[in-house]
Amino acid sequence: MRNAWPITAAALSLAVVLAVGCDSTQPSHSSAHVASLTINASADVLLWDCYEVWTDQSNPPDGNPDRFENSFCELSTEPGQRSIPWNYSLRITVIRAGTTTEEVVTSVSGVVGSSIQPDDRVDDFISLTDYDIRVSAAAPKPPLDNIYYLNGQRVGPGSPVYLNANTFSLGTPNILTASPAFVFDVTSGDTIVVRARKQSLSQMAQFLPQDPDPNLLLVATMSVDGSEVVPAGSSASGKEDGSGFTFSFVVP
Amino acid sequence: MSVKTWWLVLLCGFGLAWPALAQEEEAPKEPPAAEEKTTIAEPAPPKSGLEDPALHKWGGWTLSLAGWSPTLVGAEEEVATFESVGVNQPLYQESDASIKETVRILYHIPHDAGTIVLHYDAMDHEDELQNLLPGQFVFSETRGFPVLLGAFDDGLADGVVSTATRRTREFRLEYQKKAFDSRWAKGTWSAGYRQLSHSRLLGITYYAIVPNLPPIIPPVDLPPGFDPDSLIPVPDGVSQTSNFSGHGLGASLDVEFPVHPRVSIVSGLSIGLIRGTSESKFSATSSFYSLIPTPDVPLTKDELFELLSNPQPPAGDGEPYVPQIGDLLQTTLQANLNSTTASQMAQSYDAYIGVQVIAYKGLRVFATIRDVSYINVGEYIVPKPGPTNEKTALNAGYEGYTVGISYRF
Repeated sequence: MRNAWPITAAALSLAVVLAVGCDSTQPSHSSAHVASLTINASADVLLWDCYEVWTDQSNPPDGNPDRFENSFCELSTEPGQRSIPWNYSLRITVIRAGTTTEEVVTSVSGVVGSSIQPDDRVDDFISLTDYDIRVSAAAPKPPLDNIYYLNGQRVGPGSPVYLNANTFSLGTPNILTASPAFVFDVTSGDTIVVRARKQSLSQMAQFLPQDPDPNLLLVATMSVDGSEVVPAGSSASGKEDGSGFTFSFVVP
Repeated sequence: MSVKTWWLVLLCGFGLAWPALAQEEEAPKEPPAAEEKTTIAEPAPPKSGLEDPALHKWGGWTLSLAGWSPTLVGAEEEVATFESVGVNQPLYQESDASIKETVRILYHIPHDAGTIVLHYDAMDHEDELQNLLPGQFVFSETRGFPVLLGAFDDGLADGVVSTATRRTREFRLEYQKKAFDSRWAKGTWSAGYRQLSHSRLLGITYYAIVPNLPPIIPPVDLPPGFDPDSLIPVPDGVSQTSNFSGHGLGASLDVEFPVHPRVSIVSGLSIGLIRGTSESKFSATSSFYSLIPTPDVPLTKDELFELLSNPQPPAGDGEPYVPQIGDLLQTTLQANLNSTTASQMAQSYDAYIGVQVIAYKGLRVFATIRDVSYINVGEYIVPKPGPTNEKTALNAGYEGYTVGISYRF
């Protein structure tokens, strides 16, 4: 071999190319996930016996109630912890992986994840927790003169039966106008932050007796890809009027 | 040094040496046989053409340029510790390697009276570290001034971001002379003036990204003009700098072991003693929650959470003050310290070994492994509660493979 220049240059070039091109670092991988948030309220209450009030219009009365008059509820002595429809304010934000700033989420159906933003186009307390759907049989109530108490149901003060009997109209349960849950997309490494506060007692319809103290709690449940998660912080409010909670969760 | 760099050095050395080893030398021509039996003188061995060019009347020059990818060692900065499985692990600001240059200019004095060598090294490392775990307060703020650190004054953060700049400059002006020259090895010694500077800048920010404070949202009634974002925890910060510069003397020994007319193994060692001065600065920021009527009294975490969770109506006339959300503020603390050391003795050590190939007359190509260490090149000074401060001497090392060329003319 007379001239080593070409081979020397080729060997050096190969070494430089390998030094620059060799990279064993794997590209980062992020996974898409679906988060779902629901919020409920519960309180310690005494249950109510609600009846349909009928009258016997026959002359003379024949013992058959003919006409429905109204609904009537009276307090029972049975206690229970029941769901209560309660308005609350809510703000859901996410901190993207590798950043430190929060941004309000948007649900998969395009709903803004906050009711306290200046531009969210909804009332601060538009969100409403679910009604109490549990019903049991009320104690039979004997008729009085020609007034009959029929179809007795024992319910909580958050039941539509009780609320309708007392002409309370609270609206449709929703979470920032979504129902039954607020669903939004996240990716691995994102941090979800949820803040909520109960509406003040003075601003709510006065359907919930305050004596004894109902210990009204607002409680959130969050799941990612269908599995319930345990967040950092508190996912339940205190019992104090207008109290709330803040919690966060890092999507794995 | 990583396995990859070792492998690349070997590849470079092989790539350089193989063609030279494989090159055949021209065989000297046999003189024709004489018809008469007469004594024929042995022809003089032909010159290989690989010797360095002869010096001119004014001397000669050698220009050398090398590139290397030094890894910074011995200068890791612990920016925080984090709890893992019940044990506190240090979190280090490490460094990524990048290509740096080494320049040598040699002037060969006429009549082989020696060589004047100018050598210049410049190493810069600028690195960033970001470790964020929002809502998980597992980072201990180990570099801050230890008063009221963390969003809740517990010294913990849920995110750390740091930047570090490490910069070294070394200049050598030396006289070089042949030490020995034999069939097996050639050596040169050099000695002369050194100038060295080393600077560091470290900035750390400790965050409370998701402190999970009770929400400041309706129906909480805020006074007009009160910005709820003012309660977002102010990040704690630390800034530490050290600047050293000095000059002194140094000496070197370089040895070349020829293994082939074109290929040599080269190695060398250089030592320097530099006296200089060091300037250090420390600055730290932390904050705490307090109330406007008592701005210097920190609120505990429980007091803060109670106020934010269950705000009470303001007190009436003549009644004791009742804390209000609108009176909340964050008060900032600052700790600063500057120091200048009158005299500091630093040392430098530089060693290399590798392969050199004569590609052409006067043109050499080389690949070496190099390790440079600088000892006591600056200091960090950190204030502590009480009368004493903490001083830490700084060292820096660089190791990597070098590839370069030199040309003599």
